[in-house]
Amino acid sequence: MMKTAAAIGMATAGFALPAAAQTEITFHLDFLVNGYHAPFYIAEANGMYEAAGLDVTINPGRGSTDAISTVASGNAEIGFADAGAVAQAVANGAPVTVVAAILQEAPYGIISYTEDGIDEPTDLHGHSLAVVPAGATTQALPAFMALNEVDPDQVEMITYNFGATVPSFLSGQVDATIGYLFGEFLAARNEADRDVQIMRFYNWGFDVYSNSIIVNNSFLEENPEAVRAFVHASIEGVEYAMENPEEAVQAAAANTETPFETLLEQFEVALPLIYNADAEANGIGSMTPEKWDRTQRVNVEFGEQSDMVAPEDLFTTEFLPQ
Amino acid sequence: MGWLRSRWKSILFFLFLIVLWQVAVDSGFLLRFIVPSPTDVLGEIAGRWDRLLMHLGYTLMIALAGFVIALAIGVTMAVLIAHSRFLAESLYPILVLSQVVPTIAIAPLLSIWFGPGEVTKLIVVFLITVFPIVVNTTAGLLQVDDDLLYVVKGLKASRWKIFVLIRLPNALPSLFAAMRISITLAVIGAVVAEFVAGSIGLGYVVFTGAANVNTRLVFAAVVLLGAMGIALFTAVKLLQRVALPWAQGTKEGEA
Repeated sequence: MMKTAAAIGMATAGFALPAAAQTEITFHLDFLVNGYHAPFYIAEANGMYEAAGLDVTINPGRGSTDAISTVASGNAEIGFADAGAVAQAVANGAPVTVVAAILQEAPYGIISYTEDGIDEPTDLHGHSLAVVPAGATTQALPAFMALNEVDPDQVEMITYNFGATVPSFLSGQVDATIGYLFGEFLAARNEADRDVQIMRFYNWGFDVYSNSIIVNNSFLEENPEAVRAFVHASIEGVEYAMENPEEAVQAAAANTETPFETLLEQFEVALPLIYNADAEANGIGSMTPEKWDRTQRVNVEFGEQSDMVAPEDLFTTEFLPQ
Repeated sequence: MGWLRSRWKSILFFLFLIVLWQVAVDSGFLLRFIVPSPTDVLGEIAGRWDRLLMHLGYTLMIALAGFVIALAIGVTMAVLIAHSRFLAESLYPILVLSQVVPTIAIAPLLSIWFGPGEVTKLIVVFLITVFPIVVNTTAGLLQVDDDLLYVVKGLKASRWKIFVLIRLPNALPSLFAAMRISITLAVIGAVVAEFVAGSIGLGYVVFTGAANVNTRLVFAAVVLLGAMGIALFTAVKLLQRVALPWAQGTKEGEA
C-alpha cells in the first residue's frame, strides 16, 4: 500500500517538474555518411548526447568547405571539417573554433595504379589528376605540390564533382585522383581490376590534423557547457565504437544507403587515424600547439592560406576531457 | 487493352533495348561496375524498396511543391507583365538574369543564406521551373487575335473582361505546354537541390551512390526518377485533356 502510494507520488512529482530543456544542436558533417562517422551516430543512437542534455541532429555535408560555411553562417551550431580547411577559412574571417581533432592524421592523398609508379610527388609530372575544389584534399594540394617541388604546370588537373572522381579514374579518363584513405581509395581498390595505391600527404610533409569538431563562435560563447557536453559525448562515442564497431557502424548504416559492409571497412581503416599514438597518450581529439602550427604553416608558406591565425583564435583544448 | 494493342510495336522495341542492355552487361561488353544490368538494377530497387520509396516520396513532394509555387508566382508574373509596361520592363530582365546564372552554381550560396533545408530546395525548384511558365503564359495572354480585340473594344469591353473572357482562356493551351516542360524541370530542380544539401531524396541517393562508386544504387535511383518524371508528365497531359477539352488540337503523329 505504502509502496504504491510512494510510487504514485513519485510519478506525479515527475509529471509536475518539467524536464530540463535539451539544447538543440545541428551537427553538420564534412561529407556523406562514412564509416568514420560511426562514433557520432552511435552516440546519438545510444542516447549519449541525450544523457548530456543535448538534442542532436546529424546532417551529412558536401565537403569541408560546405561544413565550415554552414557552421559559420549559424545554420548549424557544430560541424565536422578538415583542420587545414578550417584554418584557411578562419584566416579569411570565418567565425568558427576547433574544439577537438578527432582525425589526428591527414587521411587524404593521391590515388593511382601501383603499376604507374606514382610513388613520389614528382612522379605526378606528365600525368592527369582528378581534383574536387570543394574538398579538403584539393584545398591542401597547392601546399603539397609546393612543399614537394611538384610543378603544377606539368600535372594536368581536371575538376570533377565528388562522385565522378573514382569512376573517371577506374575508366581510365584520368591517371590519378585525389581522395581520402577510407573514402575514394577504398572504393577504387574494391572495384579496380589492378592494384591501387594511395600516396598519403601525411607521409610527404603533412604531419597535420584533419577532420575536427568545429563550433560557431557565437554559440560557443553562449553555450560553453553544451559544447563541452557535445565533445565529451562524441569522444564517448569513439570509445564505444572502438569496443563495439559493428553496433556503431550499424547506427551509421541506418542513416544512409551505403551498405553496412562498406561502412564497416571504412571505419576499420579510419580507426588508426583516430586512435593513433598521440590519441592513446593524450586522449582522443587532443591537440597540441606544435601540430597546429604545422597544420597552418604548410598552407601559409606553400599553399593558399593568407596568414597564420593566432592559436587562441583557431582552437581551444578547454572542452576536451582533462 | 486497346491502348496496349495500338502501341505493341513501340513496347516491343523498348523491351528489345532492355534485352540488348542485359546481354551487353552479362557478356562483359559493358563493364558491370560502370553499367549494371537491368536485373542488377531491379534487384537493387527490390532490395531497398522501403527506403527508396521514402526517398522518392520526398523528391516528389519537393518537385510538386516547387512546381505549384512556380505555377502560382509564374502565372501572376505573366499577368503583371502583360498588363503593366513598368512591371514588364522591371520584372523581365530580373527573370532572364535568374535563368542565365546557372542554378547549380548559386545553389550552394542559397544553402548558406537559407540553410540546408526545404526552403533552399523549393527556391532551387522554383528558379528552374518558373521560366517556361512565365514566357508561355505571357505569350498566350498577349497573342490574341487583333480583329477579335477590335470588335470587343468596340463593344466597350473593359480590360478586366477582356482578360477573364478572352486572354486567360487563350493563354491556357500555352500554359499547359509550359507545364509539361516545367513539371519535368521540377524533378531536375529537386535533384539538383538534393545534390547540394540535405540527407534525403532520390537526388541524395544518386549522390551517395556516385560518391561511393555504387553504380547499382545510382541506376536504381535514376530509374525511379525517370519513372516519376514520366508519371508526372503524363499526369499533366491527362489534366490538359480534362481541363481543356475544347483545345486538344491534332494528335501527335497525325499532323
